[in-house]
Amino acid sequence: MKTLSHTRGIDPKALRPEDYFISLLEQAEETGLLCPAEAVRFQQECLLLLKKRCTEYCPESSSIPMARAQELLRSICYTVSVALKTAPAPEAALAMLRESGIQPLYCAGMVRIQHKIEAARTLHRRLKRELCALPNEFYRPTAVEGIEGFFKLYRPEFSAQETHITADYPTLLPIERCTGIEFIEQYVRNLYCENRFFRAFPLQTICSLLEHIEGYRPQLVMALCEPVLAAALACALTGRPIRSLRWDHAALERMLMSGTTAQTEQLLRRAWKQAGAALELPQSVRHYLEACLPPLAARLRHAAVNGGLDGLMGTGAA
Amino acid sequence: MKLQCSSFLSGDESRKDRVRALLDCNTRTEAYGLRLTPQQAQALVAAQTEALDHAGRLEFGGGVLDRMACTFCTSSYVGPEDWEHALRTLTELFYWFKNETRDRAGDKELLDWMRAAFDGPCHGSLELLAGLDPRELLEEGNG
Repeated sequence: MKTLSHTRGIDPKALRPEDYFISLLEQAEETGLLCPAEAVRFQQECLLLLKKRCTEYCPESSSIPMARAQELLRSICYTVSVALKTAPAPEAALAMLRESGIQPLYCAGMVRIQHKIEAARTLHRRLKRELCALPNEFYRPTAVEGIEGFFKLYRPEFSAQETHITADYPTLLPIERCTGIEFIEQYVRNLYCENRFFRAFPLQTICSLLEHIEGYRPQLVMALCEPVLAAALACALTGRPIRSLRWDHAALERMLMSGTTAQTEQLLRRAWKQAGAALELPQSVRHYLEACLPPLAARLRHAAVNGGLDGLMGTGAA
Repeated sequence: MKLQCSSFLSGDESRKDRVRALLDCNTRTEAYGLRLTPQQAQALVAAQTEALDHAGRLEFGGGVLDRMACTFCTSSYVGPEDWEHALRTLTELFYWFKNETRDRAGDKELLDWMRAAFDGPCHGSLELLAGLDPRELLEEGNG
């Protein structure tokens, strides 16, 4: 008789987004939702698919280095993961796995990856057309050439999990536990949202803001969105025109030092409602920047308490 | 999901297929006085698995032993007394050469090169063959 401990549901937090399929199998076995025979079935199906892939990868050979075979298998698992992630819950993903088997899920995953590639390409073309000429040596090379490099190198049929590029320029919202096209689609989306935000301001205003940040130079690897967003919020909080990116620094410091981090976050959310509307940003951009507020609130408060606001966003007197 | 090196070979069916394929080669090789017994064929298939493990490779295709036998059976440097030993050593060398050429040479290309080298500059010596640089094969292809 199965005990409750053997048939509990799968905790979504226990699943690894970067390795969804394997972690789903592991969790399903651990929770008693998958029996060993089923696990063996899925492994065998993966190995059959691996055999096909090896043949396609090196058609004139009958053997392959083990390391390369492992990479091909990781690619298969990544692609199956992409299909499984469309399920609303882990148990539904497991049901999908049972009903379809590996090969159909792999095909579905490949279709989905191709759609993601096309969507990312389309957004990237738009980003390139609209890219702001910000004074940073990493911004344009990463946003343009770096991502173009990904599309040139990416071969989802053999290495779907590979990201290929280092994505040196950091976006304000970090992308974690993501590789391959899943990383790139998120990265391009983040870059697009941030760039759209930058375009709400005169370029010279942003340049002036950056020049007045303590220690700033164009060779720095930094998320430029942080000081610009912080400055826009500071303008909203201190009653200054948002597009000016000039705020009452002393008033801001007092506000940031007076409450807790949670209260600072609430303050920023209220300010963002005002700023986002004033800047007439699209919903998707507003949502992205709103997601940036919790970590920004913590850093702003920490900077204010420790006298480091100048280094984060300048003095507001640009 | 971890792979065992012999994942594709470990099954009984797969082993039997390879032994059968190798024994089927006898119909061609016995014209040159070369023949493998079922025990020798089994031993060679086991040795092939070991050679793949040592070389850090995974075999997924139809196997190379039977093609090795058909390629080398016409060499005047192999005889019935050392046929099994020659195939065993040639298989080990084959996988080593595949790694050394970083898989840039296909199976047939490499087998043909090994045969030409064995009969040519190596004068039937497996030791001399083992000492050759297979990257010359790639240079010949580019030249």
